[in-house]
Amino acid sequence: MSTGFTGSAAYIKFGTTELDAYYRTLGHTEEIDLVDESAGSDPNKLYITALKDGNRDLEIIMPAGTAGTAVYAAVAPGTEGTLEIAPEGTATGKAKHFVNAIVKSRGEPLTYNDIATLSVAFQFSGAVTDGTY
Amino acid sequence: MNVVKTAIYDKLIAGTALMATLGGTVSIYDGVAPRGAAFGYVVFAPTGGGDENITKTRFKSLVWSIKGVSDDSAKKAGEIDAEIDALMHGASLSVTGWGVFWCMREGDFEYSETTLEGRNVWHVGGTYRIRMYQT
Repeated sequence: MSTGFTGSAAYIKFGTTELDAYYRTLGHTEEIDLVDESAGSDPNKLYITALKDGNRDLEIIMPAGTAGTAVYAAVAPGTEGTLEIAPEGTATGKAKHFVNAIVKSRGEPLTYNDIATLSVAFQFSGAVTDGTY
Repeated sequence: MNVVKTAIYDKLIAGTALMATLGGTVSIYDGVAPRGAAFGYVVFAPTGGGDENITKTRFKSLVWSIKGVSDDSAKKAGEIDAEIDALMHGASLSVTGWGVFWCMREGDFEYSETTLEGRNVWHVGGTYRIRMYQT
């Protein structure tokens, strides 16, 4: 019987910086453009596929001190690198996803009585490679 | 957690104004004062909280009760509490193995009791939220 899993073992790395130690949420969207090729007396819309696209949104707790400085610098807008995601961790046989990505935006909202977070939006720039460890 | 107890104790014992309200004696007790302990004194104890389980890195959100106890008056117990508050609210605690990023008072309490010997005793204190991550 298969069982589900949580994100507690997830491995997240961008370039050379591992980001999973403080991560809270990681969003994910992959999509493809569709071109309408319906014509004439077609009773239904018909599409052909075009370009693929994707992005991920990461929210982490901002580490204090130099660790936070390093993480902040690693995800400066415009930074490009390999985004490696392992939803269940990196044990043999677990899924892995690689893609070249660009940091589209980052934000560090502050709240007086809550822990500081860092949000990062990654825009895919290339094909996603899915595999296993 | 013993490391938190140590940090709180070290913070309180370093407070010269608090020590003055206690008559210059180190009357700061973990959980309960010894039988026959001279009033006034301080008692601190964990009263809630635990792991937050919000990231791989371990975070804890703990609530500790710290109070002044006096057999003189509620006012005297309140004076001890005020010195505790001055030391703990917004304090930077040094907890071995953990990084503390929040130490704030979030509750006040006051009550009294009459001992079997007929002595009135006042307890005035606060609850303090301590949030920290494992380093």
